[in-house]
Amino acid sequence: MTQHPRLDFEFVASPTALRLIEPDIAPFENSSPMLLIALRSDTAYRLAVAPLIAKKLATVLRWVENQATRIEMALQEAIANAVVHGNWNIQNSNRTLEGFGDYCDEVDAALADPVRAAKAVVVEATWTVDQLSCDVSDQGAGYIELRKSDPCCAYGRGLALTAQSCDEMAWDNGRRRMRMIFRRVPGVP
Amino acid sequence: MEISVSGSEHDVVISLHGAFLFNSHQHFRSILTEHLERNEGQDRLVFDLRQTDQIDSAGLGMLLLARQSAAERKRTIVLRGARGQVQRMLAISKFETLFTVEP
Repeated sequence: MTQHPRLDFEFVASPTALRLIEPDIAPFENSSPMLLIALRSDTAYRLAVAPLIAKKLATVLRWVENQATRIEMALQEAIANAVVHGNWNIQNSNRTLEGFGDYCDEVDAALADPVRAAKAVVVEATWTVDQLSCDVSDQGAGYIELRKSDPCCAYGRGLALTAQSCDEMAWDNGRRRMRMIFRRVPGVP
Repeated sequence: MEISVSGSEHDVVISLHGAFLFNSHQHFRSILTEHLERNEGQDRLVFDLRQTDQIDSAGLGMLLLARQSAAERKRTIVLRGARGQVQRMLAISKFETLFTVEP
């Protein structure tokens, strides 16, 4: 059984960066950010990592709770997309009621596949006093957005929620990297 | 996510504890199988969200799937007691227009 890492940032803090790189992960590139979290896809799936990362970033930046909440909401969607649609290439087009069982089976198959399970999800963050830049990368083929305008549709809300939660959102590296910019709200300490 | 279930003559009450996220699909699959597809006579399926700390777009999507399943069986889905981040997500998604929402 895979040993999951302790998500204890103080444990891995160094004078120059906060880093957590899970063992047995597929090789990945990074840009030497101020915070680097690299997890296997199966770990990112099983553990709710977004709240932990958002809390740490908000603490480092000394941002208030409501700003931490929007970081958490955006990160949650970005990490979920990176795992399911990026690394595992599971698309939403079958998320009708009849297709839900198939979707569940596809996720379970990905978790059981040692190659897909080990694909990296990488969170990189850099910041200044007034701005946080946070990238989430995967090792898939490039996520294609399937947006639906029907409010009853069971999928297609994630990217819109991400865009609502951050101040800027952009794709890079063939839609394998999502960059989210958060700015400190003026007048809020 | 942890699930507990209770019931009355008209309601099945499913309490969702913790984070209702994209990794909750197997839990939710069991809910659909055990409490929606197998009609035991209750008219309403109540999701008690008082102990739900967090929801994401996948969690919202699963609630919509439950709504679809319930409609096919002429049953009603009720969302009860959402607070904090969960309440905000339901409001952003205008779920009050799709579900019966109770405080």
